[in-house]
Amino acid sequence: MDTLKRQTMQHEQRVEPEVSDSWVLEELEPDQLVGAKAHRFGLRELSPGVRLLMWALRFYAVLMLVAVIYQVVMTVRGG
Amino acid sequence: MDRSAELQQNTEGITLEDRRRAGDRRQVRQLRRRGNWTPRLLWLLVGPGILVMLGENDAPSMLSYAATGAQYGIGFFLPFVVFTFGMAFVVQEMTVRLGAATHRGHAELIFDRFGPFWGWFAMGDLLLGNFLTLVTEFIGVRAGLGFFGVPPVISVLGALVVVGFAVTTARYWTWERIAMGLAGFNALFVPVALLAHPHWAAIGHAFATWGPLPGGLRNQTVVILLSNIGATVTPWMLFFQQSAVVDKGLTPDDVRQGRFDTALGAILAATFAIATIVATATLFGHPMSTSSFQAAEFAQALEPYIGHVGAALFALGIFEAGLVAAITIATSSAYAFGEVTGKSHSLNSSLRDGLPFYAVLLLSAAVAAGVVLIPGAPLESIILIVNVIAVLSMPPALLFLYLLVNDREIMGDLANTRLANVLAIIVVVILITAGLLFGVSSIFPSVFS
Repeated sequence: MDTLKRQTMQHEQRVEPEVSDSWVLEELEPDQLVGAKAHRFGLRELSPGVRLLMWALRFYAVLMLVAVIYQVVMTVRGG
Repeated sequence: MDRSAELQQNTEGITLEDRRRAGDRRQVRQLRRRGNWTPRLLWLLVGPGILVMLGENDAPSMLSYAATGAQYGIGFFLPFVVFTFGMAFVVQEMTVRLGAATHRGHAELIFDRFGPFWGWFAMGDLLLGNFLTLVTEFIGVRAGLGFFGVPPVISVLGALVVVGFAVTTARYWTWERIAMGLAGFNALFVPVALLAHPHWAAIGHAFATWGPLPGGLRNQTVVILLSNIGATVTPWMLFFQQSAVVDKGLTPDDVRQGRFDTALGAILAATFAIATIVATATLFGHPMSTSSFQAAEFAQALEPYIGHVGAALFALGIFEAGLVAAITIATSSAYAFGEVTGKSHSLNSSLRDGLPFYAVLLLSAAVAAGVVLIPGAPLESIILIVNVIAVLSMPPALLFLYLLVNDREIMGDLANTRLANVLAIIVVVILITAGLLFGVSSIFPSVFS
């Protein structure tokens, strides 16, 4: 735990606000900055085949969920 | 304008979170000058992979492995577990690249690239799965400490305090080290296995032949198969590791070390899972199952074979598994919430700036803990279905992952190679086949009887 504390302190010493924050810009990639997160990647084009696959897997998940609920009900009744 | 003036002008929006992450990155940059594989650099860069893999060795997973050992002994499931962790590595490695290339969390990218309609589907799967899983983690905590006579209220509230303590550090790096320190106790299952005096020749035979599989492919075998897959490949892992990679500040330069981190986590987790199966194989032939969710039942059943110390270590292991997963899974819910709502979502945020993030994290853990304390709550049913639900909700999640990691517009050179795509498709096919087997065995039980 002492080691952890010491290492944390070392980290904290390195992140004390300095006279200028320009060092932060030099260490981080531009899109790593919190301010840059407001930028959103746009929607991507989805082909009909991909849409079909997405719907198919969605139906699969719902169908299987019903099977799970059925199985649980049977197990609980059996138990 | 010269470079320094330009930098000065752009520093107005710099936050505490930026400074903390930049501090970490400065250390990485300095250490990287001495080489890419020095122990100190690796020490700085590992974390998300180890945490996600050991976090997934959670209470229901360890109980699932325990039930596997008790029901099937040493045989098919030993190599099968290694295989499932191989699948987990294939999937999780993609999240490392996604996070490093885009610096965005998984939920954020799904909303950005596919829109809120599909985004909310993904969030629904995640939040339902996370909530049920969180409940099982607190069941594990309660059951593990129950072996030592700790009352459920004390054990569950105590675990909640630890989750709270870990996040109040408001520092990703410290949180990560605390969680990794706790996750190290997953290794407790190794001495438990050794105390069971394992039959090494049988273990060797199991790995060489993928057998035996007592009773063949029965309905129960299908459920155990799914439980074991669900114990290694689940949606929360995708969301957690990508967000953790982003929060840690990994960049494309760190992808190789991120892979190492993920592989190391997979190896450790597979070793501890196998140790659990080997330990409980001594119970082969006894009527133990996943529904024996009180770890105390497993520990008590093991006691005649591995002694009181071994049984106590087993119970402690279940407690640890629940505790670490409660930390990581609650964090994955909070990351996803922050990414979707645009609120601060970093463990580097101050408590004030990140209040909604920390509140969701603690609230989700608190509600799950509360469910465990409700008298008569259907805990056994939750334990039974949680891993199965994880497997069934994976194929849609993997499709999003597959599309994102092949999206050159956001991934650039880190997009999937052909080999990675083939492996990803194999994983999806296996998961869908396993799910369909489960569906058939549920609705037409005579097929596998």
